[in-house]
Amino acid sequence: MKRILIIDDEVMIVDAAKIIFKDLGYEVVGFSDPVEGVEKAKNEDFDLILVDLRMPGKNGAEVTEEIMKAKPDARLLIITAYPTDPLAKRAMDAGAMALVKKPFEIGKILDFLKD
Amino acid sequence: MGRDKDYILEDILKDSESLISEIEKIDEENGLLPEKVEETIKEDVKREEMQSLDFSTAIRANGYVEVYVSEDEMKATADFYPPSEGISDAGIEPGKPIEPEDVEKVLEKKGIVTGIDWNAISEAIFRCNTERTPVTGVTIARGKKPVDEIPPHFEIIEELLKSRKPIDTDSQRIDFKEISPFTLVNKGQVLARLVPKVPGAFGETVLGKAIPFKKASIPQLKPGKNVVVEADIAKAGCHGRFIYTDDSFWVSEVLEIKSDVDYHTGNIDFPGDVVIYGNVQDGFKVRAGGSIYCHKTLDASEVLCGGDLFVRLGIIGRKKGVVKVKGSVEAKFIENCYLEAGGNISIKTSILNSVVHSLKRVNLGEKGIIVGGKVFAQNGVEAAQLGTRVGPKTEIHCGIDFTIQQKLEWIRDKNIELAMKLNEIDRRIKDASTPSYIEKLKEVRKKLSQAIHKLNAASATMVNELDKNEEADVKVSASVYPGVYIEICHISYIVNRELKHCRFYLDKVKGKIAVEPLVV
Repeated sequence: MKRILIIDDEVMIVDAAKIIFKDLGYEVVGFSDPVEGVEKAKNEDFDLILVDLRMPGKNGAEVTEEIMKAKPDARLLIITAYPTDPLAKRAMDAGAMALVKKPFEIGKILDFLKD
Repeated sequence: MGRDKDYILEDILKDSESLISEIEKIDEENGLLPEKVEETIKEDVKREEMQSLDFSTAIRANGYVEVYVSEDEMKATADFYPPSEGISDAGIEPGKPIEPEDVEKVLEKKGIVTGIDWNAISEAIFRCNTERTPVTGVTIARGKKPVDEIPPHFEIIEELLKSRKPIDTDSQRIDFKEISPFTLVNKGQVLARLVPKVPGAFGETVLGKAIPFKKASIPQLKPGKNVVVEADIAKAGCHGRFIYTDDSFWVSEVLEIKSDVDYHTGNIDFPGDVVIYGNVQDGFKVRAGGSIYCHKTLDASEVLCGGDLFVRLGIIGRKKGVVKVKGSVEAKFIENCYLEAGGNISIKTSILNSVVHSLKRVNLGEKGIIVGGKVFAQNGVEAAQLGTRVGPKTEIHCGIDFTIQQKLEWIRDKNIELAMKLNEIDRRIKDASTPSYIEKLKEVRKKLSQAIHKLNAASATMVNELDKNEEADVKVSASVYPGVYIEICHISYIVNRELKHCRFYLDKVKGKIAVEPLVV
C-alpha cells in the first residue's frame, strides 16, 4: 500500500485528507506540527509527502529543505493558496516537484501517486 | 577456221589462267578471298539488289489497308497503302486503288462494328489514292465509353459558394465581411436545386462488346435546419446564416441587434447566432445557441455562447463577468473576466487580471501580454510577455483538460465536507451513551463513507480522463518576468529572473519543466 505523509497545521484538512485518501486505498499519516512531520519524514519512507507552505513555527520551504536534505529522493508537493508566493519558489528550489492548490488537488496528487 | 579455233582456244586459256590465278590467291586455311574478289562480290550483290528493286516497282500492286485494334478494344487504327503507278513502257498497268469496300471487308474480317468513322476512312482513301502515298495511323473506329449513372442530388447554387458579399451597412444591413466570414440569406432565397437522376448507359468496344456503367460518386447534401424543399428547390426557411458542410446545408438563425444591449433590448436569449452592433452594457446577459458577433465591447455580466465568440473590441468583466463559449474566442483584449472556451482563444493585445480557460490554445498577438490572473490552456500559450516587473502575479497552467480539473475540484470540496461530517460523527459516537442513538449515528456514518467512496471512485476515473497533453508548451516572444508561475501537466515552474524569447516545455525524462530559446 502506498504511503502519503501530510504536514499541514490545519487539523481539519489533515483529518479530511486522511479519510479521503484512505478510502482511495492509501495509507495516510498526518501531522499538524511541522517539526513532528519532518521527523517522521526523515525516519520513514513515503511515496508522497504533502507540505503546507504557510505554517507557524516552520514554513513549508524550511520543511522541504530539511526533508530533501535527509531524503533527496523524496517526492514532495507543496500546498499553497498562492503559487506565486516567494516561499513556494524557495520550496521548489529545495526539491519540491510541484505546487498543489490549497486545501489539496485530488487529481494532481493521484497523478503523482501513479506508477 | 583452224586459226579461228586457235584464237578461241587462246582466249579460253587466258580467261582460265586468270580465273585460276584468282582462285590460287584464296587463303583456304582462313577462308579468305583476295581483296579484289571481295570487292567484286560486293559490287555484284549491290548491282543485283538494285536490279531486284527496280524489278519490284515494276510489278503491278493494288492499294490495300491494314487495320489494328487497341488492347482495350476502344480504338481501331488503319494504315492505307497506295496502288502502284504502273510503267507503260514496260507494259505494267497501275495498281487498283483502295475502295471503301476493301476497307469494309477488312473491318468485317477484324470484327469491328462500333464507332466506325467513315469520314476519316474516306478521307484517308482519297489521300492515299490520289497522292500515292501511305496514310498511316488513321483512327477509323472508336468504342463508346459507358456513362455513369448520376443519382439525384442537391447542388448548392453557385452564388452561395462564391466569396461572401459585403452587405450595405448604410441600409442597416450587416456587413458580415467586417466581422466574420459568413453568408447571409433571406427567407425564401433559393439555396440549392435538386439535380434529377441521370440514368447510366452501357459502353461498347469497337468489337461490339458491352461495357457496364457505374454509379457516380456524388456528395449527397441533405437539407438541414431552416431549409424548405419545394418542387426540387431548397429555400431558406428563415433569414439567417447559410452554412454547408460535406453532407448537409442549413440556415442558422441570426438575431441582429442594431444598438447596444441595454434596457431597450433587455437580456438576450436566442437559439441561433447573435450579431450586436453596439456594446453589451454592464449587467446584461447574452445567451446564444450559435455564435455571437459583437461590434464593440462586451461588458460581460454573463455571456453563454453555443458557437464562437467574436468581439471586435474587448471583453470587460469588471471582476464579476462570466463568459462561457463552446467554440473559439477572438477579441482585442480581455480584462477582469472569467472566460471558458472549448476552442482556441485568440487575443490581440492583452489578457489582464482574468481567469481564462481553453481546451485548446491561448494565442496572443505579436505584442500581446498576459498580466495577472490565471490562464489554463490545454495545448499551451503563446504571448509576447508574461507578467510584469512589479505587477500582479500571473499563473499559466497547461496540458490539462480544465473541465475535468474543475470536476475534480468539486469532488474534492464535497469530499472534504463529507469527511469533516464523518469526523464529527465519529466524535459523537465516542461521546454517545444511548445505544439507539449510537446506532443512528453509525447508520449516518455508513452513508457518509459510501458517499466518499463513490466520489473517490469517480475521481480515480477522472484522473485518467485528464487528457494530459505533454506536448503543451508556453512560448514567450519578448519577456517573462520573475514570479510568473508556469505549470505543465502538473509539474510546476516559478520564473525567478527575467527571461527573453524562450519556450517552456515538459522534459518528460526528467519530469521537470525545461526552458529553451524560442525558435522563430
